[in-house]
Amino acid sequence: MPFATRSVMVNAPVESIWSMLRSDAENPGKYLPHPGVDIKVHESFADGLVREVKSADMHRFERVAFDKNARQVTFTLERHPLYSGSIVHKVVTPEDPGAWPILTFTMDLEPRAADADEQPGARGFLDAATADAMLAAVSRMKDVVEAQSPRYTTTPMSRNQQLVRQMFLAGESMHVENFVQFYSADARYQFSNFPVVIGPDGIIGASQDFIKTVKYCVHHVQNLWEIDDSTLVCEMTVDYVRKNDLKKVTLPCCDTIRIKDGKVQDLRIFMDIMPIFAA
Amino acid sequence: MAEGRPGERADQIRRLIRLFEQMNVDEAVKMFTEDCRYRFANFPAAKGRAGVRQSATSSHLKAIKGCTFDIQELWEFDGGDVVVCQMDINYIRTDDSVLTLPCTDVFRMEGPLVKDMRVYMDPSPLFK
Repeated sequence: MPFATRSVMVNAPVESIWSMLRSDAENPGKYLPHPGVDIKVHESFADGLVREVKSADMHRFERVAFDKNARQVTFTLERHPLYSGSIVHKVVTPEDPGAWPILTFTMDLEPRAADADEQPGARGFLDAATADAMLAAVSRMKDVVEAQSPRYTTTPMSRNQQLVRQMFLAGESMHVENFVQFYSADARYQFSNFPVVIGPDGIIGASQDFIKTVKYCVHHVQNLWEIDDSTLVCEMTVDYVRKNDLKKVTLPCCDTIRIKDGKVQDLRIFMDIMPIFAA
Repeated sequence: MAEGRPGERADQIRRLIRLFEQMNVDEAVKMFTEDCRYRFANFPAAKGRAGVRQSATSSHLKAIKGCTFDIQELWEFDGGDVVVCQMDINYIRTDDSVLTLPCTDVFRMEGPLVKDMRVYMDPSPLFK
């Protein structure tokens, strides 16, 4: 089940990001290099197109749909022997003041046969559907957008604000190895009533049930308050999507965060997470 | 920007939390605005003083005979419009066993009164 999702903040207006998402799909290679990949547009419509993507280890046709209202480009696999599903490029306007637009790339494929992942034609999909590959792809798009469009904000986001928001985005992909890089070796991590754990290894150990249960989550920050140079409080709701039935649960959450030397020193999560484990 | 001296709202919250400790709901609800909003964990938000009274006296309070609040952090900011209180709540059950649960409350103030209180915690051990 190749699945990966990664999000980054982009310091550019939503319209510029959307425009680049669309342009890149319509004119492959013009804005972003796609080394080793040959992309041909076969048909184009008012709100979409059909293209063929070929590389040494992947060959696919995809139907591309532009949804301007949702600011979303969906690349749906067409007649592929191994997989069905889609890749989504999406930009979301942040809900809280002071935040930047969030750009998300998601690959969500279902195998069409039990042994699909073992077939030679699967390699390119499996390599693309990793947290690191997805982050590299979404970061390339971010760099191109930020280089081309005027900087969005005149007041830069504080380093602590950036750190906390990036940490949330890293956590959304359920890629805990990346998430824990935001924590110091002796960080204190407290998730509601669960026992306090210390440092990256402690967080990884404590997160296993959660990773088994949740496919991905999305943080909707309502307020991210900076109390002082090292302390922040974040009020939000979090959408959790379960692996087994894709049920989405939206829960209120408040984090208190201490930062020291560019790393999270103490994170306390206050919420009732139990609904995601309930039947 | 709220009027009053710095720390005044935080003092109000300390007082409110003492009233909750004493389970003095009659006095506690007077510290809320008439049209206040009160949300406890994942439960739907209650509205008005009557809503606060009902939320604060029903559900989990039946299973306990007392509680104490150990305030760890009390932050007043946005000119006193927002107060955040991080604490450990010690619930004393009817069999005298103590259950300690971490909690953070976020208060929006209107002058000296609370117009919005959000309780962030996992109360599920109280219902077991």
